[in-house]
Amino acid sequence: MSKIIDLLQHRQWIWQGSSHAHLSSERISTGISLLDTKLQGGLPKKGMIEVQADCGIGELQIWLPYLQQDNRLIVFINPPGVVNAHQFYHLGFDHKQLLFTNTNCAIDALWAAEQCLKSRGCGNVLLWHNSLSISQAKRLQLASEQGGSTLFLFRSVCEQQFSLPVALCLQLTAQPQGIAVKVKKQRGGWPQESFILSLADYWPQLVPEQGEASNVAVFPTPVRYAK
Amino acid sequence: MTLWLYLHFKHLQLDSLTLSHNSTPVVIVNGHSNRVVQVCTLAKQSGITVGMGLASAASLSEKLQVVAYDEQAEQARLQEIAQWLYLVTADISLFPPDGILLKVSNMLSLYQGLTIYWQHIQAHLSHLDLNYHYATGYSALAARLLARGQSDIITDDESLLQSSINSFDLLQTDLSERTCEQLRRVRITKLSQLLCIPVSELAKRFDIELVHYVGRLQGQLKYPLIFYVPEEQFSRHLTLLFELENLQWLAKPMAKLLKQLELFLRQRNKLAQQVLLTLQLRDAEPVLIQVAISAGESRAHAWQSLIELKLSNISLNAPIQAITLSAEYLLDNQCVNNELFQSLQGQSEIPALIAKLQAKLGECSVQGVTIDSDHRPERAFHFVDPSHSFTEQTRIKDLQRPSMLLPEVAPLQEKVTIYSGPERICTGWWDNQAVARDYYIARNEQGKWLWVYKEPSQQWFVQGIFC
Repeated sequence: MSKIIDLLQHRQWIWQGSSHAHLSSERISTGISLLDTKLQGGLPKKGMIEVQADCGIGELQIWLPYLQQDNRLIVFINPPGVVNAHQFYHLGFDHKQLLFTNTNCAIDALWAAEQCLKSRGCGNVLLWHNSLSISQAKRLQLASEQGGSTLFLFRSVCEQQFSLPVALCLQLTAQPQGIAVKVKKQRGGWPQESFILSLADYWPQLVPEQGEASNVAVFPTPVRYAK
Repeated sequence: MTLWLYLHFKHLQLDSLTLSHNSTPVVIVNGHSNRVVQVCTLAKQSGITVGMGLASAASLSEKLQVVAYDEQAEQARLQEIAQWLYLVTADISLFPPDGILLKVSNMLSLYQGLTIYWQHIQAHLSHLDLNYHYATGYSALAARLLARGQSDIITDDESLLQSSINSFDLLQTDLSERTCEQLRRVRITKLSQLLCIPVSELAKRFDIELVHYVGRLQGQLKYPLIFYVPEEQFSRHLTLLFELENLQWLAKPMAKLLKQLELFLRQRNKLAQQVLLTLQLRDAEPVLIQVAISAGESRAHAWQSLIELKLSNISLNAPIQAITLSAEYLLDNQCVNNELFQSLQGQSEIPALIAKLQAKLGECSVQGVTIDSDHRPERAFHFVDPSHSFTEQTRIKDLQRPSMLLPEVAPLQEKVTIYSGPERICTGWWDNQAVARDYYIARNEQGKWLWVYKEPSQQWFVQGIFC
């Protein structure tokens, strides 16, 4: 009997509540109160956070208040567009704090992510990567625990995917009122049913002026430019 | 009188061969005369001696490894030794291909005596792992003669030195064979016999060469010396004993050179910003590998890991025969006073991380950013090397900007709902890149947040995505 348990433990096919009791449960606030209450106080201090979402629904936007709290290095690996550093600068990030990496192949991206996570100077790594195997995820998770850093893994929604060994897995979907968040997996807690973060929660600037803008002045005509 | 110390490196080239091979006997053979010039201990045990022909040497040991004598390599090595010795002694003169002369007298006030001075020199030389013979003398030639004669004598006792010189045979001196022959005919075969004769008598009967030699040997005439001046830049060459085809095997010889670099830098209190490794290939163009750490680095293992990363991207089409390591852009090592309790450990690791990423992924794939004071979104910032310095700009609060820009602006081709706007940007008339745009934040039917703008021509474009 014990042989089977040993085997299961060795292959890491079994999860034991007791072995995780000593794990640090330190949480860092996301800056959004509803999200904090649902996530037992915020994001885990280190580890891998998987964000499954379609590109452009605000999947990075909601983490900006969290990222602003940390003045360590933030590394963007293979972002889906040109990162608008101008916005990050005016939000209060230091220009030295931002590092951008684009790699030709997926393996290099994972290597870069691992190196950044291990380095103690680096606080957050944002990685856009769609196909990650379980062993790769485990390796990144270990690297982030070693370096005390956080990895945000952005990937598209796909129900058939294996669940990865991550500290937190969230699925974000667009809703007319804002974003629906589903906690698919969290370390030291149960999965949560989906709840809605309204625009007022995470992007209050957009709320009052909803609808068609009526105060647009017409461009003065004729427009001439010095040649 | 000035006291000199001469070091004679018996088999310099043999000692400089990298890959330690305790199992195979090695000899160095002069290609012209086809005779063995340097013999390692193992080869000596099997009976090989200096001056033996290559064929007889090869017949004595079946595993014998033969390396061609390279005078240039030996001279380069001599330079390195001089550079290393320069750290403990001031006046050094090179006697190529295998000797170094040190002026002792000037150093005695620093080292308080000859014994302590010699201990320092010995301890310092022990790092290089060389075999040598040594001797002091009251003239450069006397010291050279004694050292080459394997006297291994360190003393400032004039009479003792004189008596040791006297016992030498004329054939052991630097005199030409013709002069020796002339002297032999008058039954002068020992140096003691020659030195008994007054110089004026010698000048009458023999040519000027002999007179000069005797005068210089006794310190009556000055021997012309050129003293060594240390180089400013680090550059080392290493010929590999075997041709290497596997890049992983390069780690050992490379580590040896990097260790030397570390010492070079530490002794000058410098940091290198860039290291250049040249791989000389057989029948092919040499391969250059360049790695950089913008903050400067002196430690060998930091450079080693960077070079190994760089090497992992390279494939060779010919085996490596030799490597050269040189350091460029040396910085002064300025220590920063850190706070005792606040950990700045992490901050100091960033340059190393950036260097590592750049070495593996290429310099243009890892970028930092600098912010420009321009309102046009596509010109508001640009990517630069992460080490680039940057002037602060005033930060504008409550800007609504997307986190991603599209590489190219695209026409808006779907139905969107406008949530916020307009924000008019009307600028750039001074550089013929004028823009007049009304920006809106809009959302398409899939819930994607877009940053769109309208031009005076009523055309709509998408410029960014609020990820």
